[in-house]
Amino acid sequence: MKFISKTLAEITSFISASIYTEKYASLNGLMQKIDARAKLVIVLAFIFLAVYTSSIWVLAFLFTIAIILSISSRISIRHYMSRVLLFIPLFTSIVAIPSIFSFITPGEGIISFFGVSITYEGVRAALFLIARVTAAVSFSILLITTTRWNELMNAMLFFKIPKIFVMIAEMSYRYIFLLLYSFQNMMLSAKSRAVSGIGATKAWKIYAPIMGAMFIKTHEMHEKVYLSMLSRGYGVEIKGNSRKMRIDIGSTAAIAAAFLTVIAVYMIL
Amino acid sequence: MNEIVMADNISYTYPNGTVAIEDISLTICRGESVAIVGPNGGGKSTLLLVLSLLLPPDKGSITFMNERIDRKKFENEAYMRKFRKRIGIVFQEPDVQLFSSTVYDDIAFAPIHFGWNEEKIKDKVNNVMKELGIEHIAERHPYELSGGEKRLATIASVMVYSPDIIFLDEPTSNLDYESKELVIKAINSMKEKRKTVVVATHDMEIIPEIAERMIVLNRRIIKDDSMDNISPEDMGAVWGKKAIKFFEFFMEQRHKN
Repeated sequence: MKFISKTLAEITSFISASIYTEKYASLNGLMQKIDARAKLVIVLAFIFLAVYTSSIWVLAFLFTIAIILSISSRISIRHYMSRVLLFIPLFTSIVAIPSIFSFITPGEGIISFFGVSITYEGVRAALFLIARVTAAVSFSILLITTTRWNELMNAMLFFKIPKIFVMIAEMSYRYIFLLLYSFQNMMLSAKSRAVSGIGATKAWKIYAPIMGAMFIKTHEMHEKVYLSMLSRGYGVEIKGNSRKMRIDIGSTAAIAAAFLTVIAVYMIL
Repeated sequence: MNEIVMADNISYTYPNGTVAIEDISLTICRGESVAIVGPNGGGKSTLLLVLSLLLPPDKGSITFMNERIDRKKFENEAYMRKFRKRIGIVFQEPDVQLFSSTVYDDIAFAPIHFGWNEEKIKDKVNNVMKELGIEHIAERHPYELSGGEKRLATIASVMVYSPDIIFLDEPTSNLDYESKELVIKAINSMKEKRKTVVVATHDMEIIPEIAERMIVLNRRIIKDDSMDNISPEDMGAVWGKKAIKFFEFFMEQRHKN
């Protein structure tokens, strides 16, 4: 049952975190003032630089820029850092670990055990990969945190990203809250009726039908959401929020500043 | 000429074999306020979906603004879109209607899809929020709203494009007294604008306040008459003896007002 309780807590925190993300998007900060399309271009330019650079100093510079931008966008440093530094480097580390061993990256050994050694070159390559991913992810999170979902979808459509991709992303966002909310209630209802501690095997027997019921509910909900969209003019063509359609001077200046930074760093190196 | 929607002998059966409505014939005229009442599972929601041209009937036909709409037309969404601007529907569960990241975006959903310009959208959305007193929740996520706020937001999302006919499915279910009053006020404001309002409900308390005509439905139409000709016994036939006293009390209130 502990597992179930933890799952519930995770679901709740996911929903809350997503709502907070939307709250940051509506603040009056630097990045929030920039047009979503301009932000997409700027972020892609910085990610491009992070992917192609071979200097750790450039990665450190990019990470610093991301932090400055997040502070000037009034994002809580704790919220931002927990996303940038906790999960992504952790997953990247798992991927990077094999590369520290001599059978993947031969070189000067640091420690040896059972005939395998951890090499200096391997550790360097792994750390570099983690730094690269952290720099790239810090900009992606900055974009997502400071941009409304609808505006991001509009920006993607503007750059001719396939409509089917945008539509799937848009729909996923619409359903995820509804489904998580239902799931949370069903789990709580099951928990409220559980008299005492239930073993793992029995717990799965109870929660398996909940999963089944969720699939049926998903289907019903999908029908209703679709009808509600259809009744309000939804068609084959997807349209987004029209509140910000023109790229203003500030956003144009932001693109120019970002490109000048990227070019300057590229030239110096 | 005054008819807005006409149903001619319509039936609808769900794919699992459940018969929702059978042989329904009715006409709703411009400016009417109609309450559709009946027990749970009596087909009220299905009837609203069929009348709002979202579900094609299995049998019979629908005529909307003098245009007969057969099954072939129902399947042509491009053709059906011309009617969407004229029809509004507020669903029973607000959650299926509020799916954007903010209340503002949800209210602006229809105007955006109807291709209005930026200024007009902003103007209309702000006006309808002001009218319903929900400006303070414009930038909030629908997930954070109370039941009453969610309901008012769904009503706003329909009122914003000013459709000729508005269908509301159980608009006061799970609401406290204060929220109920606000919803009734919103419905009456639509009526004042000469909109046709069709409300499916089993909340007897609100029926005398919002409707001039009542259709009692239990898969088939049991009674269709003006409120003054509906007797407490008609309500008792649907909900049992206890309903008779309730209905008598609410009708007395209506006459006093």
